[in-house]
Amino acid sequence: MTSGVSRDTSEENVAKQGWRWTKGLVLVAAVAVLWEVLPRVGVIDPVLLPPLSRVLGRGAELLVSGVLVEHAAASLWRVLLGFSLAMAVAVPLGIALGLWPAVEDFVDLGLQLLRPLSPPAWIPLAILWFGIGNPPAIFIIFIGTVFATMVGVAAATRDVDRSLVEVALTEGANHWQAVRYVVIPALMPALFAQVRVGLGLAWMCVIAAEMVAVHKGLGYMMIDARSLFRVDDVLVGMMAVGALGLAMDAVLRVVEGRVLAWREGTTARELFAATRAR
Amino acid sequence: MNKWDTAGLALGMALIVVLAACIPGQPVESPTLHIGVRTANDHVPFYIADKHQLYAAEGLDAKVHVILSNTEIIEALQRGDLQMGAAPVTTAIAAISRGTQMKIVAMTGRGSDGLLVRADSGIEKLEDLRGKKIATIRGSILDVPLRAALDDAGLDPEKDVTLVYFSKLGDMISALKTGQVDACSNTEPFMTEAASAGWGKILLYYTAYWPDHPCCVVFVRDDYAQAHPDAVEKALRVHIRAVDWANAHPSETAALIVEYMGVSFQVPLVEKSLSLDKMRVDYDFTPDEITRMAQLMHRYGLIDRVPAADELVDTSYLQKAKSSLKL
Repeated sequence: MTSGVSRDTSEENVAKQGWRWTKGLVLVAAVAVLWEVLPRVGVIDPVLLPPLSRVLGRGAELLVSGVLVEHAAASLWRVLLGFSLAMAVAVPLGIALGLWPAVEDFVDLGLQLLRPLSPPAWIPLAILWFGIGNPPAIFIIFIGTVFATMVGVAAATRDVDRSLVEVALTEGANHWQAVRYVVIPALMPALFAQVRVGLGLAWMCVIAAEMVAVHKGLGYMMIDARSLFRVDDVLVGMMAVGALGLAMDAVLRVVEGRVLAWREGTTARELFAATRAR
Repeated sequence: MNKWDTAGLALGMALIVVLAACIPGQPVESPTLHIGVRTANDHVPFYIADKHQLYAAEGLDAKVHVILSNTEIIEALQRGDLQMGAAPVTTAIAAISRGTQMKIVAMTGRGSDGLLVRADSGIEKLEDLRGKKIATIRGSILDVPLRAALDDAGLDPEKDVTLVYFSKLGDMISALKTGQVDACSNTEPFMTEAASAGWGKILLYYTAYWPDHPCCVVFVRDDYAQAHPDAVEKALRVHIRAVDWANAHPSETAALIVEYMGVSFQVPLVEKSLSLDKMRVDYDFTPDEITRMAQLMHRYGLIDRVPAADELVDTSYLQKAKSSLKL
């Protein structure tokens, strides 16, 4: 790529990544120290925020007993299913909305009416339509994820450079080929961003989803712990959601890095980073 | 570390400090006694006291706050936003067992909870629920007496039935109506409403297994009670008067419940649910009945330990209030 930005050697890259992790860890460490010290010295009431060591101890206890793994596995399964279904609907429909005004005319009003409804608002209907157990929980994750992702994909599709499509059409491509070989590849960076946002939303919906008659899941665990004032269990649940969200996002980033390898050295972010380095 | 790194770190630290500052340490002393209650039949003494300005008549600066959920009442009390509150005894026990510095100082109501089934279910007695699904709110006052009743009927709550956990009364009713569950543990006036509407049948009240079991209780923060024992005594005098008024004026009490609950129940229906001998508004209690409930909660794995009686309750304020009223 001839962007004028020199590519990092692998050693430089590793060093930069290491420094970025170090910076991230500084803040995490600062939070950890304050979290441990403030409740212990009484600045924060330990009933409201138990010291970090107590929370980590409880987390280890739940992990070793297998309870945390059971809850995490149940949530992971629901998130994966609800999120996958939402992406299967949101991505193609979002692209169609962004490309064809006729589709937008039909769908947009309904979409904007449904989009502001928060996931818990769907719970009574979820029970009526899907019964109890996994189906309503997966539905709530789906519904909490699908609309925002669809709107994001539609907006990104509208921004695809017209001239790219014009070139393809001039060269003899039909509309389908222009979408397949020009619009979708041009959309990929934004699409990955939307999918990552969607994944975050899916995890955010877990608590609402697991309010509906389930016995396992991190959301259920946190709701149950809250009602029994087990603040340490609530915090363990939050940490587990954060860790799983982080892990799944990391997987998506790796996939993104592979699929969008062509983008390396072409982004403004890299230009700024290179300028700072000089 | 360059200037951007320094700026990023400073911003991050500032965010942490702001976040930490949001979590209270010691509550700010307030001249007003803030009381948190919920919308429920047996919280009506507080509606009466509020509506009839009984606190002011007692020379007490108090404000009643109607709060959405029991958990939120305790959380507000833990933060110091409330000094006194009312919630189911199970909620209070769970909070105290986890270190919340508060004491149960009076009762608000007894009974009122039971099992609802569909009228066409063919379920006639508790034993018919073997192998069935029962909706409940885990750890709540709907849950502990349910488990105890199942035990008494020879049904293991974990093996012989499937307990299906919900967070809201309304969601349990929806699940029962649509056949997702076979029974649901519920309370008044919802059960009487379901029976009056024709689709529901009240299978039993838990009072059949534990007559006059405690339902909701009044509690107060330890630091407030120690600093303002007179205010606690005054508040309980008002509570006693309001309880007596509620029991003497069922129609007006039902109208107040409808007004404060803000739901579309009819006053006669609420009055009917109040007049049932399966629930009553009350202020008096014994430490033994609270400890018995705590022991049940421990037996069902809902709390890690049974707090000692003097950690759970303080009857001295109620005794003084009763004495001053010559009761």
